[in-house]
Amino acid sequence: MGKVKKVLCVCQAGLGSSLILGMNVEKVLEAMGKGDIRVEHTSIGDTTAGQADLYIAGGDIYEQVKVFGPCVAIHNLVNKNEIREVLEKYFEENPDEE
Amino acid sequence: MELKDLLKYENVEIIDSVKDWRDAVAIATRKLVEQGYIEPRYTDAIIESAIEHNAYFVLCPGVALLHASSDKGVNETQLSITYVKEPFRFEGKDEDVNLMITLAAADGESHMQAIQQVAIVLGDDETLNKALNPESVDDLYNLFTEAQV
Repeated sequence: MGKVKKVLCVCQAGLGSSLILGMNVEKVLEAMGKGDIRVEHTSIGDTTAGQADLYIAGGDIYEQVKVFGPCVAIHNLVNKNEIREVLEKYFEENPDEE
Repeated sequence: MELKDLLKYENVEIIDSVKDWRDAVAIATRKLVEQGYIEPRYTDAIIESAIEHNAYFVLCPGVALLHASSDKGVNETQLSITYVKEPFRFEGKDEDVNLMITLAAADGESHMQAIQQVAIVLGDDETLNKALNPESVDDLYNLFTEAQV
């Protein structure tokens, strides 16, 4: 598992939910001292493998998104505490290679 | 464009109740249809998306961000806000919803700042609580349009 440089937030339309999720992910990563990670958002239809090092999906489309690569699910898209917990767990289980 | 450029005061509504979630979506999108920002099929697209994708646009308990893809009948980017005093639920969801923010995005860019303002309001417990317990339309309109990114 290499260093995460880019995360992609995915929702159905790629316009609203993923944008809001992306903003919150950006803030959480900054607070975690990982502000250098790029955050983008898109629709499930435009998602392909290899676009990002980590995919972040709304809970309902997790199963569809995880086929593209490493993926975590967020259920409450505006809850920064949930986002932080999920991301901390991910980074703990997938530490950057030294 | 800021939220105040994409949200008309007259498109912020507080209503008592809805028959069911489909009725809620129809009410939330009605004015945008009348004003020509969206085609009636955009309302149908939101309803279809809700069924097909388990109302994934319920962002957090209390709040739904109603939207579908730009190509489903959006003529011009615009938002509306509808607060329903009596909570309702989308099919298959166990969260009560009172607040519907309807987003009609004509492209991927023009609504970004406005949605960031929405996210600022929803991302803070105090302002989220205000949004879920508005005393007046003025309250709701000001809360969202005055949010600073």
